[in-house]
Amino acid sequence: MTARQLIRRALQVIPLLMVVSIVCFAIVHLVPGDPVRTILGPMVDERDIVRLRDLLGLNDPYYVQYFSWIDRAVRGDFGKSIASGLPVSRELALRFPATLQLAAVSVVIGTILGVLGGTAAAIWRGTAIDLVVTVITVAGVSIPIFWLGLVLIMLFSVRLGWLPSIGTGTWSHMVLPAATLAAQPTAIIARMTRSCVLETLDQDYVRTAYSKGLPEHVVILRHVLKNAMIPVITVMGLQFGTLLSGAVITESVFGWPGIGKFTVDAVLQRDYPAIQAAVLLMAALFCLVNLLVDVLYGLVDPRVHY
Amino acid sequence: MNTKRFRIVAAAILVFVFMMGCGTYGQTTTRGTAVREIRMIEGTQIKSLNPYKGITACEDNLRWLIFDMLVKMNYETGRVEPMLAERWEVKPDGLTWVFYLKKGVRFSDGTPFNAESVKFSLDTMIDPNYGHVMAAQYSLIEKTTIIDDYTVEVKTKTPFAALVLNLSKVNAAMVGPRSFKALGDDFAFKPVGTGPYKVKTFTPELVVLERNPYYSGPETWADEISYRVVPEAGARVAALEAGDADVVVKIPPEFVKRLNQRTDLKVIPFPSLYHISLEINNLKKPYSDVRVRHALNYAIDRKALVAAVLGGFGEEAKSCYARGNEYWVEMEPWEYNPKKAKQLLAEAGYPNGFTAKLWVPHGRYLKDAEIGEVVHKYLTDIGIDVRLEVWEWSPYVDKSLQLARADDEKEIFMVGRATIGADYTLTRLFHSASNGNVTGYANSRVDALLEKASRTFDVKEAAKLYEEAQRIIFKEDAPWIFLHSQQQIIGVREGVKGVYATPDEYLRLREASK
Repeated sequence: MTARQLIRRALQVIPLLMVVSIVCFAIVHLVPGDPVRTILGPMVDERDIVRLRDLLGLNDPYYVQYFSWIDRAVRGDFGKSIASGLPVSRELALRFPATLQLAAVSVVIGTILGVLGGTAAAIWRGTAIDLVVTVITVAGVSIPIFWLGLVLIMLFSVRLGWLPSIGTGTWSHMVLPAATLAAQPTAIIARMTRSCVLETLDQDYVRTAYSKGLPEHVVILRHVLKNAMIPVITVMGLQFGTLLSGAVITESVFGWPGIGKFTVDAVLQRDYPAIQAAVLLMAALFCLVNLLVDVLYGLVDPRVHY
Repeated sequence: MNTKRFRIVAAAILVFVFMMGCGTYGQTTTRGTAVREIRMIEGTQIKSLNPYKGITACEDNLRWLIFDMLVKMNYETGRVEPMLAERWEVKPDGLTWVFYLKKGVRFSDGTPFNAESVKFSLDTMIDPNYGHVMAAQYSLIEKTTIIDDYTVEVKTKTPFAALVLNLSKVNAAMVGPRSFKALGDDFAFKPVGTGPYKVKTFTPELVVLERNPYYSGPETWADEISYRVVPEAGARVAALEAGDADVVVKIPPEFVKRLNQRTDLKVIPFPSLYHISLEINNLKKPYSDVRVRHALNYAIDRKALVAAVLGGFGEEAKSCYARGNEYWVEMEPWEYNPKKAKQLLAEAGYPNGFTAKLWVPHGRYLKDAEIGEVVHKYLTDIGIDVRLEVWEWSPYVDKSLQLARADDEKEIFMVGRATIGADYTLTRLFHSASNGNVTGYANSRVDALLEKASRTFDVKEAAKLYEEAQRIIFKEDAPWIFLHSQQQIIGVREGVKGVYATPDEYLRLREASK
């Protein structure tokens, strides 16, 4: 991919983000509920509600609110959170590193374990190994994260006392949340890898590789895996993009300071500026990850050109 | 793989590793450090510690450690006591208050506390351009004048007896003017007050406070207090069990038995002013008939509800607001008598019941949705066809807390009320002209009693008037289905002392030690 193609792809993101911002704005304002009343609670003075609504511009017509928001947003000002009175960009910047860290570690774990497990299951198809991998992957996609997290805490923190139950800072704090969050990506990547490897194993060029006397590990690594990786990379990218928009449940169980819980709280409180900025950030990240995946395709498969 | 491609992959891996390695947020809570640290877990995110910008209870818990007010509330006597003001007086005009300040107090940034800082704080609070979140509470302040270094005069627009009560709230904290002006938005993270603690680290999930070097408090108080946020209740309990926390709030009743089996932990129930009721739209038929409202009150077995749903952590309603509040009178609770309820419905012309809407929020009050289900069953038992709707809080508060109308959608809806002061509670909720009266309840006798009581300075006379008003509301008119007052369940590690929760559900750790 040349630099020019890359720039063109990046520019295509802009209209997409515009659409996202309009849809998000519309949904947020159409859903019943009022941010001021929600945040101030049931026992607040009616005058404070009226005054705050005025101050926040919530009494203006919708189109005025949208355009004044867009006008400021393109200049990098996403407004202040109604709940905290602080710039939203700052609130997100405070929390995003934690989300990025957890998402990255989980996707790395998921990719390594998933590709290994899936490949093993495909090579030894129909054996006990295949069965074990299948059972684990089915469990991985179907166990609720919420339950898994609590069980891990009860086992490793309360019973055994090996790992801290909550908090951040060291690698030991990372283990339980990352393991919890990696369960689903691992399972999904493993299943994807298994079916792709199985498909590739039947290809003529693999038979050719075997028949010209290459050792099995060379065949698997050079011919099978490399060709089976394209769909797996797609899945990995999608998983990473999803995890980057925060992991509400994992964050809630482990007290992890990511953007997921922040965004859900913002939605529950109808904190309009916070919701809009968070959704826009997530959309932009998803586009970025897709772009990276496209670049990766080119690296793995020389046939891919743009 | 050619070299160019290899380089790209290598760079990508490096970036990945770097991302994983970076990001140490705040400090780690290691187990058994020499610093006497109290580790506390809350359920709600701490976004700002600026006392003028937020009213979230968990944030106020921290603000309480960082800031002092001019005066403070003594929850045992229900009276306002000196804090930064040694004493105060009201001039005979009823408009002029003079506060005499403590000397030798310093803010945590080293600047002295004096009349100038009081004027700065009060001026900021009433400045419409600054936008104090509860500005209406202080809107009657006209201006503040410095008399000398340690005396200020506050003039109000009209006589305003509740001024000192309002000044005892954390959102009337005295802020350090130098830091407040210099920091701007950052004051939310680096708040400066005259309280015993100041912020050491502030991250979204962990706030660590350390002692304010300019505050002379007892040696025994904790060196550091850390607040961590874990929204999931089960995980909070597990963290307490695992030894990762010393104080945990909002423990669900179902975990109490498990925690009680541990010798190193204890569960402390604190009373709460939260009074849970099913408020009724008194303007809408058939609820406008007092017999129907009596029937609804007779239909519910509150003792069973408190025992089964709340694990016993609550008390059935004995008045229209909670025990512990000003002028509260204990009355005979509503008896559980479904037969009488049915009979009353028949007298009111509904022998076969009617269709009713019951709204409850989800996750706002202790076991709110579960209570809704139990009440649904009790009301069905007396022949009412109940449609239970469980709501998300935001649209709920929007719909249910508007003034009631006869053609309203809302009929029976759950709200918990926890306000301090008889006047603020009763007049606000039950006076027919109050905009906080969202059920359309109106009784001219109650109005007259409440108006008279709020003008009375004689405590005995006021008590009599409030007692009569409570009796009419709770027993005669029954505008709501009064359910119960809840309790706060707090888990504490053995050896941690001085943890105290106020009846309005704030956690006070000022005197905590370990």
